[in-house]
Amino acid sequence: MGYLDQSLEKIHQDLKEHKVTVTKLVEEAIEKATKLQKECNAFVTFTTEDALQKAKELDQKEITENLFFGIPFAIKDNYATKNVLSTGSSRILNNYLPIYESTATDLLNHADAISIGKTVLDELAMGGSGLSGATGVVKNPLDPQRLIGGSSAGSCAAVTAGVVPFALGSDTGDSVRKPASFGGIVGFKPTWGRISRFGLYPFAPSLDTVAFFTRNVKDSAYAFDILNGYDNKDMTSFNFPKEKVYSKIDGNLKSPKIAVLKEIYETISNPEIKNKFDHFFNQCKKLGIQVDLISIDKKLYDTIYATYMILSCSEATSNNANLDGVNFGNYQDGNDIDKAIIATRTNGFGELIKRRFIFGSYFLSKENQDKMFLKAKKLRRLIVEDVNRILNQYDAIVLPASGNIAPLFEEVNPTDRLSDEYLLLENHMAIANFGGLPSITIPCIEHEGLPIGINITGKAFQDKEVLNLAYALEKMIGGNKK
Amino acid sequence: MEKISVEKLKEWALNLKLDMSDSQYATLQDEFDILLRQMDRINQTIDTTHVVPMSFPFDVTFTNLRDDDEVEESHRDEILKNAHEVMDGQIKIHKVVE
Repeated sequence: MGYLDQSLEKIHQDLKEHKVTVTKLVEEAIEKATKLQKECNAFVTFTTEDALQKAKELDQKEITENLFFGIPFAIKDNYATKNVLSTGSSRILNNYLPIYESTATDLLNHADAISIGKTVLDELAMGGSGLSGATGVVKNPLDPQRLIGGSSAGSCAAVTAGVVPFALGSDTGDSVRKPASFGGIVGFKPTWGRISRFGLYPFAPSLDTVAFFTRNVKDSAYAFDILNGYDNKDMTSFNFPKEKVYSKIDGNLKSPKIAVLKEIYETISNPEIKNKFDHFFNQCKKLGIQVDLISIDKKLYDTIYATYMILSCSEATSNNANLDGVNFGNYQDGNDIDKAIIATRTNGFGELIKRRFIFGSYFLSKENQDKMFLKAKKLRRLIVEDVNRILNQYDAIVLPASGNIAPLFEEVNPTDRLSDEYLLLENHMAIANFGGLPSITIPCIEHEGLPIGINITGKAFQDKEVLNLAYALEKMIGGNKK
Repeated sequence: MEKISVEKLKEWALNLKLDMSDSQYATLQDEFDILLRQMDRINQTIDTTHVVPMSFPFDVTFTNLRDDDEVEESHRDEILKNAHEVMDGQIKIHKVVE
């Protein structure tokens, strides 16, 4: 019981009616976070003293109309937070104190939200399991025998467990939208360039997006309002006026049409799960939504995983070349500077990301650039052109965010990547990163008592329309009860 | 299909200034097999000869340049707090010039 597993609107109302204070909210978050830490290892760092101090100050102020006023939240540990340990869940940065604040966290601080701590991720955001953070594996609060997914594992676990109603993540392939499915919460990745990435540690900047978790769609709309806008510290930030969408999200749809990609949808191998999603799409039709099962060029879409690996590993290799321990980070000495840097990077990086860096080095090498890196960039264009062609005829592409519930730890088999189900159903959400498209996962069905989300991807810059469709579907499914 | 040797993998790793254990190189070799098999399949089925590579999601030119204002900032002491060894206000490293 408590306040923090409710919507922002409800918590705000209770604050205004003095049913609860900001200090009480922060105390509740800290108590729940401490429990979650023991059970699921969601946090790297707690900022308890600062959080309680800020809560005390806010309790002396008049409560504004801003829904983030006094709301405890959590930050994925790949955002630079001034004078607060920002490790990227990597041993190489385990002592790094940034001297600057990321724009996203700065905006949240200015909105009077209160950070209670930094959360575990797959090391430097490379990974989709929550297994590779330097401080250990993150478990799923709904069933600690299962993973929560990644890379934004700790932030997802914190919202899933009701520790905080909002947490920052980041999304390069599906790092917010996949775990949201396993946690039964909402994960939203806005259009690329709408939210400043200043201070977000770069993994693959042509794909990286500031993204976040909430308990319902309207809270995601509110968070988007706070975070979107131009920032001259990020040269890929769009010079658009700040957009306010929250008050426009009403779930009213005008002749909505959604596309379900047949060759992806039909790879669901579990008939019970397939039946439940069939039922969901039938409900959509009853709501007046035109649902078309459309055929795609399977050969092209089969390339999503390879294209993603080549692009992301290549960009990551280059972006993380600065981590040598000399200016900052966990330096290891050697007989000369070369040996010292090798010792630092060998000791500082985990196994998975070393392998990814070597992949990247291979793809970027002179002899492979044309046949690998350039080829992947061309495949990216073909995929994006095809997705945009579909989106010119439909309001959104709607597909299951995963083919199954969160896997048991013992079931994780990273080499099972050539099966059709893995290649298509478990990787399709990267199309939104290839095309910079707004994309959201909301809870949809339950199987064996655990959630699986549905993913909705829309046209670039139509973040409001995607949120509105998601809100309508959320109401239909029966979510957002709190 | 091209088979990547462990020696080659070690060479690339060293270029990146890092090293791994033998078993980790073996895992990487397996992963390369999977990915290169996929790429082989892709090369046989998808013609990209006349496709323009896509580097960013949108075909836009970013011109977000800041105004050329003269500002003086010095965070030297703060920055140096993150360095492993400091001497006379500078980061100390091994001698690099023989």
